[in-house]
Amino acid sequence: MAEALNCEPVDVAVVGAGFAGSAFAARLTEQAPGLRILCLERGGWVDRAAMPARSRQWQRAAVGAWASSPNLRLKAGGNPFSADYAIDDSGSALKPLMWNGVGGSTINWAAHFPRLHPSDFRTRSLDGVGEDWPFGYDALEPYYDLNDRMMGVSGLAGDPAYPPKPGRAQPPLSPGRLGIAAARGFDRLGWHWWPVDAAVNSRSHDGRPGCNRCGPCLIGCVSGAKASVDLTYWPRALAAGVELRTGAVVQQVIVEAGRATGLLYRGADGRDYRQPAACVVIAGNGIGTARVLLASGIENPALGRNLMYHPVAYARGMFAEAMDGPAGPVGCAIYSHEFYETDAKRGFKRGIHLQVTRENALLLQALRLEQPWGEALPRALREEFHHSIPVLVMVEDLPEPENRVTLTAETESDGLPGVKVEYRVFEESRRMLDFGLDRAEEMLRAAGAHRVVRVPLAPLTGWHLLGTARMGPEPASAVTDASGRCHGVADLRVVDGSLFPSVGAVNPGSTIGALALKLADDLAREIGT
Amino acid sequence: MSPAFLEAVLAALLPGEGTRLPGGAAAGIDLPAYDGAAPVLDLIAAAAGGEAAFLAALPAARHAALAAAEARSPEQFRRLLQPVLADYCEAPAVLAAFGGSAAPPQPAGQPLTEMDSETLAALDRVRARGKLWRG
Repeated sequence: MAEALNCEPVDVAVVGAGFAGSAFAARLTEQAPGLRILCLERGGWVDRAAMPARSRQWQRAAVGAWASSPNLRLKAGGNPFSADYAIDDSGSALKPLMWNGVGGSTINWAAHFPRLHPSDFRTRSLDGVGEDWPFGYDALEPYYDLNDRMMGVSGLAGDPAYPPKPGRAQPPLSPGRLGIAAARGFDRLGWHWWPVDAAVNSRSHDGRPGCNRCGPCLIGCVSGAKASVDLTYWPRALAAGVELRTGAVVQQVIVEAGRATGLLYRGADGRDYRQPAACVVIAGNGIGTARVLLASGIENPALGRNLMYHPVAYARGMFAEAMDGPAGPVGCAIYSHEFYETDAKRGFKRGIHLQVTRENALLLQALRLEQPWGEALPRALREEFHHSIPVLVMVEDLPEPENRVTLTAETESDGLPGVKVEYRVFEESRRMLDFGLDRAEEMLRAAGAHRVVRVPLAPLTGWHLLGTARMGPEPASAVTDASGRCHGVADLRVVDGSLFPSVGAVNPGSTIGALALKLADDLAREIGT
Repeated sequence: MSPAFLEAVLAALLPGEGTRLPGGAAAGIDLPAYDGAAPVLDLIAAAAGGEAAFLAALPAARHAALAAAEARSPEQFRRLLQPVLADYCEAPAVLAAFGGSAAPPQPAGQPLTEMDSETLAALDRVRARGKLWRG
């Protein structure tokens, strides 16, 4: 790095062009138009024409070069659009999933788009567990609304599980036979259920087409009906003058006299660059952010700790009647928050999210069978393919310092130290998962399932990379303050899901976007003053 | 390895279901063409007591030989099985047998049932419960 070439200084340098980085950059340039904002992204733009959903071999792509896991993609020879790095997940009960390119994990997410509940921001105050956020739902609400408008949400207003939300931009996605059957089960039990909020177009919206329910959202959306920030935030940010430099692998934050003054990065041409910046902003997800900050020598007792993924289990009900198979947006049918809020009688604090999802492709269904060959294979597939309803059980993940991201002694091919994740499911989470599986089975039986199979823990569900640079007032227990400013290092900010002090029991995408928008306004206000 | 042995192993691995579902051979699977097939086939033959013994065995014993090979070297067995299954599950006749389409997901997409009036009425009952969230 001694030979690094000097770049023109910028006002703000953002690391990572995923959900948080794009929303932050787009909002900041709108609120403070004179700023020179640069985003450095290690990957490139995805080419939708190269996505495998138009190929007959799309099923194998989902477990190979287009798998959700960067480790699986690397094992398959890599994906040209995601600049992946190996993650040592041998000590992690859940395997981290992500996309490392423009758009971040919105490229291959399910686009299920729930908000946190108001109680999720006050878990310590209300229930004596986890950590309170430094602000509440009310402070984030206008940004949730703004983020919904930017992403384009299909759904139905009036859900009593949430404070009132504005009318959704589009009607809810079709539930399919599977969603209707599950609704019947919830209704028979008198439980809450509601069509999901989804960042997927149910009809043409904002220049993107309506979803034609092709199914495999997790290998990328060919049509663009599924919102991803390369299609939503980035075009606006670029039009407003934000510069996006792809193939730029940030090696470290430059810290001089207690102040971040820029970044060192390796460019797409393989040369090293020194990028001066008045303000450095990190948005690399709960693993990437921790990796860069640790590699930069940033010291804080909470840095890398309290990794929260959300433990996930599945119950799969088998039905005599025909269901939809692998049609429809994969994560988006209906959900229930009947058991979301704390009820001490259940034997645990906090709650669970039940989400009726959709069947996998035939190959994926086969591969997860205990014996995917012999006479057992057709018997099992015939029972469940086009005849099953999967219910995802996701539970609150409480912050545990032992669940963490650390650096290894190795230097990886991207020039950074290797990264290791350690994560185990604690007893409280296990109780929640078991309770949730019982409730999921109860619903499936009420809906008419003749058999229910349980997956007590689904390892390949580590999408939610949260908590490793959490915000809070005290430097002893938090990496940043409420505006994402790093304690102890001036002009260094974090704006992504790493900041979450607690995570509720729902998918974080909506909250990651809303939080980034709020933090952009915080910075714009500071600059304005 | 004899063609008869290869055919018999494939039939035990992906037997199909009569006329309802094609087996591996009818789906176009050619076991020796896969990387890593030979050592797994050797393990199967060894577990059965040789190729001839495998061919002479009843279906249950052939199944047991495959299971023994899988138990002996699960990673090797799985490494072979995954691409074999990928080809099998992507074969149009196999997809059709399970009610799926041979066409890729795009550009045609798939139909999905819309919300019906009975389900919408059930939603009214949820709405009528009032606030469920805590502040």
